[in-house]
Amino acid sequence: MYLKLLISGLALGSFYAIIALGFSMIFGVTRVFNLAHGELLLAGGYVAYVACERFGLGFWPSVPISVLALTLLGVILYRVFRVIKEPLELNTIVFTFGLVIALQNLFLIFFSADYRILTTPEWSTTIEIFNVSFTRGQLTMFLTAFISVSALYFLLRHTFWGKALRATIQDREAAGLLGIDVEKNSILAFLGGIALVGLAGPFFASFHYIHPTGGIEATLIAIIVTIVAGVGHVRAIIWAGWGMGLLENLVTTMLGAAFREGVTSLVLIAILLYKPCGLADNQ
Amino acid sequence: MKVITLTLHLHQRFFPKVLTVTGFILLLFLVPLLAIQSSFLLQVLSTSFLYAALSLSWNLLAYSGHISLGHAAFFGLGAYGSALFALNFDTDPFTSIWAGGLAGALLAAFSGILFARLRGAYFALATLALVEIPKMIADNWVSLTRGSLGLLNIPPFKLPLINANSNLTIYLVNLSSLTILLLVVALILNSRWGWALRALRQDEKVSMTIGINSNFYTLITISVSGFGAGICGAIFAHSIGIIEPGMVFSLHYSALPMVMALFGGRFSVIGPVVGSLVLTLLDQFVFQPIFPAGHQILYGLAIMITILFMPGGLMGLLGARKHGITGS
Repeated sequence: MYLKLLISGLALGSFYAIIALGFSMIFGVTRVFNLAHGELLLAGGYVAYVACERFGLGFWPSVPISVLALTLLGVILYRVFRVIKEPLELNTIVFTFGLVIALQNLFLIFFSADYRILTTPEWSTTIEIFNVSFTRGQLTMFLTAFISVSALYFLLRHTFWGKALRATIQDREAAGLLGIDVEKNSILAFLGGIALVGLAGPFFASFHYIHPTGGIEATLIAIIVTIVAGVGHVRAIIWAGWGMGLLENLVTTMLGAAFREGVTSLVLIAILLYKPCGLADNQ
Repeated sequence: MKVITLTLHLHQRFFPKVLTVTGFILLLFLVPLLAIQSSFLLQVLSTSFLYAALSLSWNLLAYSGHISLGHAAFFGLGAYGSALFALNFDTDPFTSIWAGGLAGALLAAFSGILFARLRGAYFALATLALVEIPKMIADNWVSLTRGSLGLLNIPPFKLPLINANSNLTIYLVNLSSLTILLLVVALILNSRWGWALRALRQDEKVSMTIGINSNFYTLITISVSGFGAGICGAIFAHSIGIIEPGMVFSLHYSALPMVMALFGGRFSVIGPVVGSLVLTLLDQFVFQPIFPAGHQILYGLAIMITILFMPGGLMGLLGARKHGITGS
């Protein structure tokens, strides 16, 4: 029983780690406080839903389509975010709150308020490893998160480009002085962050029922994980993501699903009270 | 010397504006006489008055530089407070709305103390999360609130000579409360209190060095703001007659006051009212017929356009920014 909770919590946590990594990369290079993160995730989910249900593609072909669609959206968003004036964090949080409302209503117009899910019947089959039964979906989630997170870790820690990117996150001006192309790095990292959301979208739609207002909780979790871990700290983000996944699973089992959003909000408030400077104070 | 010219400047600008606004409000009181047949217009206008009052409450707090994404918490608690008071003590709605306002003010004061160290985006984030807590309580304290079934049979407003709960009653109640709130907010913003808030918004550290007590002013401002939002929620509950947690503690009532105040112009006293009138009419008469499902896309677009192209909102375009003390 507890082992099962642990496993599904880790699978969920890996998923949280991916979306928090996306949030962290976007915030790190552009200082955009993206409150519409969960809605972008839903957008990826809906794109995959259309690809699967309307055009009859399978789950895997729908993943690159979702990534591509969101990256294109990211190009537009990056241009728009560049126009927003100081104080950047506050203005972008208000702006992206507007984006939340706009996207939610676009989903309503195109997909109505129905609950939708990507049907992947082969994923509910269970596999037994060491006497513990996983569903195939949990295993896939876990592996995808593991692979993408380790790839990112390698990129950021062991390549020159990753070093340049971390420098950009830490201090834009100093990085520019050292000859790093700050603008190019920013665009690449922003699009990378959005692409991660596009990767997570189809998974989100195959685990949860998606509906137009279902994005806000994912946003709050991404923010919690990023604040706890610190911007751009890949390993810490994975730990924090797993922590949130386990906590959510525990709350759902002990108290019931009705308390999940409330507990997420309480956690966010507690963390903000503990770290009033939020993302700014992590070095 | 500078103070005197500033005061003169203020009075020259202030009095013609007061006359215009008073005239406009009197005109609105006359609308029912002309348009009594068109009950849809009355309904839309009443709604816009309620939103205007909510936006005014929100904007009072925003004057101090604190952007709240959680006024639904105060609105919803006001709705529940007033409805429960009226149902359990069998009182008149005009009495119980004060209980609703008080409930909103208490939660606001509590969050003001709790979030005293948070600024900017993090204050906004904390208020966004705050909404879930009263919602969770209202959803799960079934013996008091009936949980997600909601409260039914909330008593309607009754005015002498008018049918109970008619559109006209709600219109008059909403317009009167908007007028009173506008008066209160205008008095606050044109007093030392208001200037303290403007100073705090522009530079908190400098304001504190000239003796403005940041914590005190923020606390009383958020309490009054929560009181206003609570009253709005209470009025909403008695006009609709039925409330449930998901309905009043929704993102909708956190977003609306912000959209309308920003769009109308958050650096002007009357801006939120202008924003509410324009956006509600636009929503109900243009967007609703075109996109019946997602007509609230208007509000999202309005925020984005305001942030990108007109930081002073509509009133800013009309020249209110020339007034000088506008700030970030």
